[in-house]
Formats: sequence, C-alpha cells, structure tokens
Amino acid sequence: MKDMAPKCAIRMEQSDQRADQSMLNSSMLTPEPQEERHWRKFKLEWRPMLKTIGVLALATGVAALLDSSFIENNNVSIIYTLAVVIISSMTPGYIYGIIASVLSVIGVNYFFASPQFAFNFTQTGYPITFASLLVVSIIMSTLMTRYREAAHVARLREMRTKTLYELTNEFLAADNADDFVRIACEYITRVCGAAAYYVPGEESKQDISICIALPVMVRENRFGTVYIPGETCAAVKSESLLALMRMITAQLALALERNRLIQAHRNARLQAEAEEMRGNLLRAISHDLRTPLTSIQGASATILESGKQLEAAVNYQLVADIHENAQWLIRMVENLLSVTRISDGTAAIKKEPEVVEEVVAQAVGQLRKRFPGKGIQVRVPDDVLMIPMDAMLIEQVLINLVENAFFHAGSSEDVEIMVQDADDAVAFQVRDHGVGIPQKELETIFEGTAKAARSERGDSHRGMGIGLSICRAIVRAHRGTIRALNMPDGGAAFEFTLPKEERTHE
Amino acid sequence: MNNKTTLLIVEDDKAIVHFISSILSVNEYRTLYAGTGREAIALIASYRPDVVLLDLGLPDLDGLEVLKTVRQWSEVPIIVVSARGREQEKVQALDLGADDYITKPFGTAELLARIRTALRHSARPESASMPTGRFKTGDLEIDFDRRLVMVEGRDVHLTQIEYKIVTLIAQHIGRVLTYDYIIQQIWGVHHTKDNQILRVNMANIRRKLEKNPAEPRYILTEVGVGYRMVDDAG
Repeated sequence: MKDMAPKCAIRMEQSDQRADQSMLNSSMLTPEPQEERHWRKFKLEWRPMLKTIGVLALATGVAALLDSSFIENNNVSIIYTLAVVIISSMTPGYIYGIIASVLSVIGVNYFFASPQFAFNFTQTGYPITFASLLVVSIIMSTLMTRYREAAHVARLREMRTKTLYELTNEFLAADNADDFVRIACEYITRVCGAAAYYVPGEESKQDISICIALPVMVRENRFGTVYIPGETCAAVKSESLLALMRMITAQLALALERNRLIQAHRNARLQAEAEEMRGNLLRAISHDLRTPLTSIQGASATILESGKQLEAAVNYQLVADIHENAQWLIRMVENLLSVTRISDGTAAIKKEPEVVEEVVAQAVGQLRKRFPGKGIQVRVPDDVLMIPMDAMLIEQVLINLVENAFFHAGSSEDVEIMVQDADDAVAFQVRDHGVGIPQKELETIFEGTAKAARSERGDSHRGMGIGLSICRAIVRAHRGTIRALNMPDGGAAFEFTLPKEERTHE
Repeated sequence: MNNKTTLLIVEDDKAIVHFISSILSVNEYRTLYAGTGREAIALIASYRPDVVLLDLGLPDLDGLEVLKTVRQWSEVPIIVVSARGREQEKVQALDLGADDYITKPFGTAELLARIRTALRHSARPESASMPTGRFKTGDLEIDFDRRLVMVEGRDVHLTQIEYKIVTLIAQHIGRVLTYDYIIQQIWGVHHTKDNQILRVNMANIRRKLEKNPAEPRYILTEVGVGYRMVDDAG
C-alpha cells in the first residue's frame, strides 16, 4: 500500500463493495462516475423502474381479469402482494419495493375498490392493506438484498479461489523466474483488464503514468514490482480486486523465493562438489606431482652430469622417461584447467550449442596424437545433434574416459566411443573390452578415491581416479548424468548423458 | 646470408626458444629470435623473415597488437602460439590476419607441419575470384569448371551453399577459416553471433564427404574457432 501512487490511494477509499461485481463482467471497463454509487440506493434508475411498472401493469391486468370473472375480490390484494414480492426480488435496494407497495395500494384503491376508477382513502381496512404490502415489500427487499450480497460474495470468493488455484498450478508447471513473472502478469492483466508489467529491482519507480505499484516481496527481500499503467487505472477501482492482485503478487513473491532457494541450494551443492573435487585434485597433485618431477629431475641430471659416459640406449631411455612424465604432467595440468573452468563461475559454465560429432572428433584427434599406438573406434548417429555444452570440458571428459580405458582395461582391443540420441538427451558411451571394474568400486569410482584400490592391481598410472571425479563434476555441471558399468559381454563402460535443452529446473 | 628459409621466433621463454630453434635448425631453417613485441616488430621490418612464430603472451606488448602492427605493412605468414581454452584469442588473431595458430603444448611434428603449410600457402588468395581448374587432396577432388565434387572418384551431390563452403575452404587448404569469415563469405553477413546455419551445413557436408563424420579426413573442426581442410602434403 505504501508504494501506491497517491492518485490510486484516493480511488481505493472511494470504492465500495458493489464495484466488485464489475470484475465479474465486462462492465468494469466502462466505469460509472464514482459518486453515483453512494446514491444508488436512493436514486431511481430507469431499468428497474421499468420493471416495476411492467410487473404492476401485469398484476393490474391479471387482477382485472380475475375481477371480471367474478372470483372472490380478496384475490386482487394477493396478486398485488405477489407483484410486490416479484418486484422486490428483481430490483436492487428497497426503493422499488416501497414504490411498488405505494402504487399497489393506489392501484387496488383506484381500480378495484368501490367506487371503481376513483380514489377513496377513507375506506375501512385501507391502512392495513397498505401497511401489510409495505412490510411485505421491505422484508422481501431485505431478504433479496442479503441473498444477492451473499451470492455475490460467494461468487467472488469462488472466482478468487479459482484464480489462485489456477495460478498455483501454473506456477508448479513453470520452472524459472521469467515464467513466474510472465504468468503472474497474465493473471493480473486478466483480473483487472489492464496490461500489468514487472520490473525487477529494489526500487519502485515514481512515474505519473503508473496507476498501481504492487511490490513483490518476501519479508525484507524485494524481488521487484508489478506496475499497472495509468491509462487503465479506472478499471482498477475496488478494494477486493486490489486484494486479489496483491494475493497474486504474494504468490509470485513466494514462487520467486522458492526459485531463488532452489537455485541457491543447487549452487551450494555444485560448489560443494567443486570444492570436493578441487580438494581431491590438490591432494592428488601434492601426492603425485613429486613423483614425475623427481623422475624428470633425476633423469635430466643424470644426462647432464654423466651423459657422455652412458651408452646411447640408456641416454635415450632417460629422455623417453622425461618425455612420458612431462606428458603426464600436461594431462594433469589440463584437468586442473578444467577444474578452474568449472569452479570459476561456480555453477555457471558457459554453454554454447555445439555439434556433438565435432567435439567427439576433436577429442579423438587429441587422443590419437597422444597415444599413436592405441586403437579407438567412434560411432555417431546419422542425425546431426546440436546440444548446449562447454566443448572444451566435454572434450576433457571424453579424453579422461578413453585414457582411463587405455590404462586400466588391461586389453589391447580398441576402445569404442558411441554417441546415441536419447530423446531429450544425448548419451555418450566409452567402452573397453578389458577386465571390467570390481563390483565394490562401481559405486565409488567417481569419488576420486578409487585410485589406491586400482593401483593394488599393479597400475603404474597415477591419479586416474581424479580424472573420473573431474568427469563427474563436468557432467553434473552440465546437468547430465554419469555412471560406470560392466558390460555383459565383458569389459567396462562409462556412460554419460547431456540434456538437449537448457534447463534451470530439476 | 644464404638462401635458407628464415623463421622468426617471438617468445619470451628461453627454454622454448631453444627447443624450437634446435628442431628448426635440424630441419634446415635459419632462425631469428625476439623476446619482446617491439623487438619482433623491428626484426620483421629489417630481416623480412619467411614465417613468424608469434607467442601471444609477451612481456611488453599484447601479441595481438604486434600482429595488428605488422599486418599494416607486411604479408609475412604469421603462426600464432596460444593455449588451449583460449579459443576467443585464436579467433581474434585469425581475424586480425594471422595465418594459423598452434596450441600449447605442441609437439615438434605438429610445429613443422604448420610451418610447411604456412610457407606453401603464403600467397594469400584474398580475392574472391572464381577458382578454375581442378583441386585434389587425398581422395577428394573438386572440378571448379564443372562444379563437381568427387570422393574416391564418385560424384558427391552438394547443394549450392555446401559447394560454396567446400570450395572456399579448399581454396584456403591448410588454414583455419573462422566461422565469422566463412559466414561473411558465403552469406554476406557480418559479425553474427549465430553460426548454427554454418555448423548444420558443415555437418551435412561431412556426411557427404567423410566415411565417418566423427573421424573426418578432409575438413577438420577446430571447435570454437572454425574449420580447416587437411593438407595431406603437410
């Protein structure tokens, strides 16, 4: 309320409940002058007046018919009473009922009481007829007014409940802040007939073209403001209409708050995962980095100090060791780069639509260059698949998975990369024909701790567990899934999926 | 001064300079070395090297600035040295007139291949004149006069746009063409963010030219940068 433009506040004070009716029909777009409503109970309108006269005329006709058929004269009063009841129920307020009563008394007196077609107010029983007609009309009018009001309030409540129910349903189906705002604005526009719009931010703008400003806030946290522009302001004239719009904005605020919390929760989780992975990586590096560096230092020192005394083959082997260790370090550093790419913007990795086969081809090209002796087979679908991703990170995932297969499968058979279209996602599979993964490791293989268990089997390659945990972090940052499994016909497979559509909802 | 091909290495790390100049002299190239951007500009002006190997991370000037300055008065082939994950930098360098790029860390074979390609195609076909005659790389043949593309002797049916893309890339064989450059040449649109139409066309071309679209032999994708036709002579 405090955010309302002064102009609007005045209008609201003037409004009364009767105007609520306007929101149920289209007449609200052609509003009546404000002051008229105060006087409606006392001021005659032509439409109910016409009804009153029409019904009375009909009653007079029917009474005349009965009268001429020589039926008991008392019926005339009954018929007028009925007319008064009908008029009271058909017209708003009391005034038409009272008018009808007066006219009825006059009518009975003039048309039917003797002397016919003349007034005789001295007739006995006249005050009683008059009084009873009056009382009947007042009771009827009161009852009818109450009933109408009750019905109106009920209809209003029903409509409000229905609106809020539909709104809540649409909110449940929506999954991002933009949709929430769009839906809320649509509903406000629908109930008030004016085009509402939303402006995010703490401040409400002061602009004379704005009729109503509805703050969208949960406790102290203000998301923004829904504005209804001034030219349609006259349409928004009732307190309960405003109340409904405030309920809608409250719902919007709750939806936005919920959305914010979900986002915050997800970001916190991703951050925790990134932290965990970074921790693992740092541990692995501090643990493993010394080994290749020691080897490089030792081998190079040996060549520098006593290369001349050594046989050529020994020198060659030392240099080959330096080369291999340097390559390992490069791979480690590239994984490190991936980790910083994920944790830099926390959850916000930069995704671009990429053609899947291009990224796969680039990863395969890298692998062939690094491991000229190893075999890789690739299969991609005939359809062109384009999905949002950070190509460098997905390339890293593929490289890590294939490297993992090279080092741990214990097989010289080709490693296969398969890409499949899976409706709303794209599935990637890297499989080998080696020894498979021990059952107890399947669950924990992405934790970055499986390394120790694997090296028990005599693997000399360090830090591959880290590679897999980086794969998981990258895939999750893309809102995809990853799993390891043993194939029924032997060998292990790593599968990951990437969603085709950008989704902010889980 | 003999008639050996001269290379200028612009790099501030001594160890890298040493290994590159060693491998180059083994391969009969003469090498010059510049540790800063200013020195590089001076050496290019005075020695007129045949190829420049330019590292973008220099102590005094931004490598891209060096590139811009040199391109004002020299058409010398320039190979830019950049790192993985810096695709935007590579695109900028190519758009500023670099002939090629190589990603750190690189192997010697790759480096020598890039240098050979740069030397071979130092004559830059800047004009968009219609090529004539025949073009052949591996089993891919283009007959410009008859507007025919053949793989292993059989006709490949390309659409008008696909044919234009293939011939454009073939004319610049060995070099990376950025998405922007290709879109500009084919559709005449400048600086568009949306390169999907090109990517989809290229995916379709790949299905027509390559046996396995995931292991292309003719047109390679440099993800995030552009496309390159493989120069099998390299």
